Amino acid sequence: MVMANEPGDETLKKELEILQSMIDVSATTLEGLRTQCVTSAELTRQEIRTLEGKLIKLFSQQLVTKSKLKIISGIHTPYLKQWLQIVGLETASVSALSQRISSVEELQEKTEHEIRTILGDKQSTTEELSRLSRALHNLKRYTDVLKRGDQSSYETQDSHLSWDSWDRNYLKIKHGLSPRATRTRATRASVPSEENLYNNNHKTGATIAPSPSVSSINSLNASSAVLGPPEFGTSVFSLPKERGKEKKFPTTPPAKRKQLVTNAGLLTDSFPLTKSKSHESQLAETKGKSNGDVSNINETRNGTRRGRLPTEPGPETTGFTSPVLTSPIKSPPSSYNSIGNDSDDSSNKSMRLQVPKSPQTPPMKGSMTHQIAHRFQMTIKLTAICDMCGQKIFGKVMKCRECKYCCHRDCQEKVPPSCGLPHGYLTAFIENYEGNQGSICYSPTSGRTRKSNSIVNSLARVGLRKGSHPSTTFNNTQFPQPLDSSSNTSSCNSSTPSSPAVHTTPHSNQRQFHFPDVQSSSEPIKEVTLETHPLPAVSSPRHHEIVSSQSSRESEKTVSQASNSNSSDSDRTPVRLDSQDSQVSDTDTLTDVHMARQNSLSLKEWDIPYDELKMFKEVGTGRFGTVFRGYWHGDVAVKLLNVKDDKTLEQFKMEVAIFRKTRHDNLILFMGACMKPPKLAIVTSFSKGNTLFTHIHLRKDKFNINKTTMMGQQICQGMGYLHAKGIVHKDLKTKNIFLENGKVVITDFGLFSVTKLCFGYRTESLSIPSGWLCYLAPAIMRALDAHRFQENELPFTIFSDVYAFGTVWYELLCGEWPFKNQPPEAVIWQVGKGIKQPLANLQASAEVKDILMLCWQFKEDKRPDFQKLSDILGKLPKKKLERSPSHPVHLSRSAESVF
Amino acid sequence: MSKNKLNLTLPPGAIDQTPNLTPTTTNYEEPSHPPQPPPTVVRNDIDHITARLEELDMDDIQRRRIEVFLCQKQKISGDLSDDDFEKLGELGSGNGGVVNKVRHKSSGLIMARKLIHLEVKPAIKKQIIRELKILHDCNFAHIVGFYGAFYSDGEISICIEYMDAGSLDLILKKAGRIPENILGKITSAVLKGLSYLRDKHAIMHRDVKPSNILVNSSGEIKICDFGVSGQLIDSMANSFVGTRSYMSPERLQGTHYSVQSDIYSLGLSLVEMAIGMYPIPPPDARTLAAIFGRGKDSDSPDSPKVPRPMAIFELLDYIVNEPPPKLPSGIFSQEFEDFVDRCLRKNPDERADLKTLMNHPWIKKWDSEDVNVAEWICQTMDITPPNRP
Repeated sequence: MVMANEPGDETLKKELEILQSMIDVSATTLEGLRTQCVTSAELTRQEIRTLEGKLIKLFSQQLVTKSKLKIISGIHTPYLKQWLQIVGLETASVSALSQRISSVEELQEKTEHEIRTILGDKQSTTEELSRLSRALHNLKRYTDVLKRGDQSSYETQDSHLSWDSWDRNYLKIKHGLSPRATRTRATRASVPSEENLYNNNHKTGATIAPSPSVSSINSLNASSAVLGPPEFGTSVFSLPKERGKEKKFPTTPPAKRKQLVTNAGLLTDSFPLTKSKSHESQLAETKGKSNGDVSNINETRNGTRRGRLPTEPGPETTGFTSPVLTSPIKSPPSSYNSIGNDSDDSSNKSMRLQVPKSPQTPPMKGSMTHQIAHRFQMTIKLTAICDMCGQKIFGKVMKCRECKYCCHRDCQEKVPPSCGLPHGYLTAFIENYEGNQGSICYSPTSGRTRKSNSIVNSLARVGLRKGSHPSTTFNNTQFPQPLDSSSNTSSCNSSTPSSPAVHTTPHSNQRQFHFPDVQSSSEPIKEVTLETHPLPAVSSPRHHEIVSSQSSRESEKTVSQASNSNSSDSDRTPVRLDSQDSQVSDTDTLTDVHMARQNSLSLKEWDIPYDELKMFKEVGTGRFGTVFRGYWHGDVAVKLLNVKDDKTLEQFKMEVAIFRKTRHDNLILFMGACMKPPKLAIVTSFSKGNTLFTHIHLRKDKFNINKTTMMGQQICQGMGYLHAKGIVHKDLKTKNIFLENGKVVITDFGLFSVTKLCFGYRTESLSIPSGWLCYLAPAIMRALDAHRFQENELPFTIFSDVYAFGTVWYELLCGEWPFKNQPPEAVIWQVGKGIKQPLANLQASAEVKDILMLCWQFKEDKRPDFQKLSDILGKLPKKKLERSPSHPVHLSRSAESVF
Repeated sequence: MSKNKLNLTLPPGAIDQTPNLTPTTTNYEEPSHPPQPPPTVVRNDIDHITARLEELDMDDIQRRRIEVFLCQKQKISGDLSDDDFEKLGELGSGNGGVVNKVRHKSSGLIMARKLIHLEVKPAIKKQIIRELKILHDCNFAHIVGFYGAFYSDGEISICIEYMDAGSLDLILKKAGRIPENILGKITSAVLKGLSYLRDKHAIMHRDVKPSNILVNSSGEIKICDFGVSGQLIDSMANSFVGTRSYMSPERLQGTHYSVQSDIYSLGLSLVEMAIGMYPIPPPDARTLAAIFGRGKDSDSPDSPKVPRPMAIFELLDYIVNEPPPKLPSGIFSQEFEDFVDRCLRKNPDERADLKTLMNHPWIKKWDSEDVNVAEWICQTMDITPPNRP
């Protein structure tokens, strides 16, 4: 956000307005996420974190811009109330604070004690306080970065700036897990990812020690933060605040002590998983950024690290629930030293020791002590579900001889040494992992690689830690984290983390992956040192920021709506080399800021010059416009939108921001978009198959139950991924599902809001496309209003998508739409009333019909999510394939006949 | 005459012959149809039809008008196609398509051409055109005349008789309210049209509403847009759901429905036309006072009508679950109130059937009374009265 050097007040005011509008958008989205999404879902949390980070940045920018104004009177912009609401305070607290305090700046001046006093009588929870203090701390941190004008070089990852503002109920549940998760992440980082290993081997020291270093850095940072070396004044301020709020740490005590305290449990509660994530992300980023030599690592550890540590604390302390993690470790000083000293070889030991001390290390503690490698054996199964990634397995299955764990061959390497681990633990582990994953993904280097790296790292660490930690207790959190990375990136399912694309990426880090886990443990330490480099340059406590900066870009991109780590990955892959570029682009798309530089960058990535498109024949027309078959480096589908007004254009840009984040085997591949009005188009890969609509309604194809189930599962997987990304399809129907060589490909997700506005404006009546109504959930039916259709958004939710899936499932089973031949009004009334298409004439098993009834539940919270649906579908009794007997029937018969 | 309609059983051959009036339609003949008489027989066909017309419940003028229509229709030789028409203007957009006023170039006939966008396979197109052909047989004083249908450029064109005063919803907008005597004539015409469709063609309308009742400056009242082609309904890309619905409760509930459903729709339309506003939700006393405040006879059209906006579902649920609308008491005749009540019974079994309604005192009353519908229409719509036979 570098602005012109000496902008006039007018320019600045405009700037403020723009920022305000961006804040409004983000705040609304954030509010929606908090209140309408399941905040227990890791992806939602990640999005919240990303948004929080984004908002911090925006507010910081406002503050900085405002400070440049010569005449401040009449400028109210950073709105205090909005700020407080964004922070997530109760209404009572908001009003209490806003009565006593007039501006965000004033609020910043207040000490925690003062704030507490104001809030005290309002019975505000300590959680609110900690939120506020963390948010304020982050705000100040980023504001300082901005003031120094170095934010470009040190982009803070949004999630680092987050403060986890969702509801505590969820938090409490998470807290236990989250801290560990954080640790695990750190662990991952610290543990040399395959890439790292690879790098180390090949590049010996001098080259970039990527992810591992990052992780280690993070851990160091975290620990250091606690210690809070005096060098970094900035860091100090941040830390004290947070702590003060929590009351746990009146002053910035030595890191070790603090950690211990935190471990005690208080900190964990106050700090949700986010922090941990941020660490990871930071780590990852640092990896990317810190291309420093391995040799540096050692030095940095000893000298620089400490320095950094203090700087880092701000983010870590805030974000990290590390206390918990650290607590188990509890071996403070020794570990610290050891970390610094640890070099590659000794790293294993030292790492262990260190782990406890530094936040990063905590993950190690948390990490599973359970480390029993699976004994995989390849078997052939017709249908199996990968325990690792949840996708179906066709053909060759890797199955553990001991515990029956099944996974893809490609997933095998990602499987933690969890042999014999009870499923519950594994699941918990996975969940935590997912949380972490987000941050991991954000790492500047190719997201995918990182994920995989992180996973590997975490695994490796786990192994190490086992050794280190005598207690074999499983920390659910630890496992989950590594798993999460893989699982979260459901998008990556199709393209395994180690997919070719990753390899092609220029980053040396990726290659490191190939190293065996054992070696990796030592390596992470080296990487840590790498990070140190950036620190000196920064000089300020912003280490965290720096580290996170890369990640932040990614997060920014996502911010607009459902920002997921995955999405960031996709973005990154192309852009990664230029961390700055990627950042810029992200922001641009999201906010549509008038930063020329940013815009240009973003456009560069995703904008396809209209002239480059070759259009062939028209394939069809949808509500949104016309679809052409085209050519752009191969066959593509071009959806020309007839968008006229600015509002729709904005929406279109938002959609594009969403699309580019989607990478899943069962989703259409988004290739780019023509963003320059009036030539607006979305370019996707060209689906060669027919739509399910064509199969079912035009060709009257019948699918057997096995095929139907398989398609249903694939739809669920694609949709589950979308939902995990926070994307609501809004228009799931058989016309938007292609069947390509037996593979389901879902298209047109999220387009509905754009298309709606492209409707012909017919007064006082709704144009209802045939075969649309029956996909609409009761709540949407009830919201249909011919009076105000154009202004009102229909209440599409992830649950309405599930309802729509029910209809798709019905079509697959019956070959026709529910409520066939009924006039639209009748369908609206019946569905709105909760009446379902009778299934008496449907020849299907009870289980199959149950799915319909579940999806069509009137109350949306009774509908299963797609994950659940996928499970249910997977458990449907399969009709056995009619195989010919192994012995030649004809012969035997003939033989019998002979006799 | 009225008895005739019941007794009448048309010889299948007679019906089949009617398409010959437009010889081109032979292309779409169903295989099951008996061989078509050669075109030379056309004249005989008209005689034949004319003979049959005598059996229907029509007066001489109505019969003559149909004869005239059929003769004019004969001028259209060959298949209708897009090139045959010259667009004169747009009459409005109906359910699922645009209606244009066009001139058939070679014959000079003025028609209304309804265009319905369809993207369907050729087989489906043919089926639709075939199904629409039944309209050639619908020759009755209260059914809009049909010239032909064809498919061109993604759209089905249905060419029908041009009614110069438009549909009743337009008239209602202009007039504010429609006086009871006019409504009586309208209702009588619609009932006759509905029973003609049911008795002669075994079809129900399915979409009775003011915009599907057309009138012209001669005072003719005709219904259109009835559900002839199931395939057409299925193939329509879009349907429109507006702020008002005339659908009967039983149909909304997805239960079995019959021609009784049309009667409910008619009843609802009558209330709307009588009070000048869509009656769901029912207007409160103040609104009614504003409408009728100056006395029943006042036909001032400009009373405020601001119905409470309802979401579609809310509206439909009102129809299903709330008491049916009725006429405000004391403003209209007792018979009219009773007639409407009988039409709007929510239970279709309690609802009066067509036959009962046609014998209802209110209908009888207006049948026997001489009401100059043409004059009222021309006044309302500012049309110069035509010089018709």
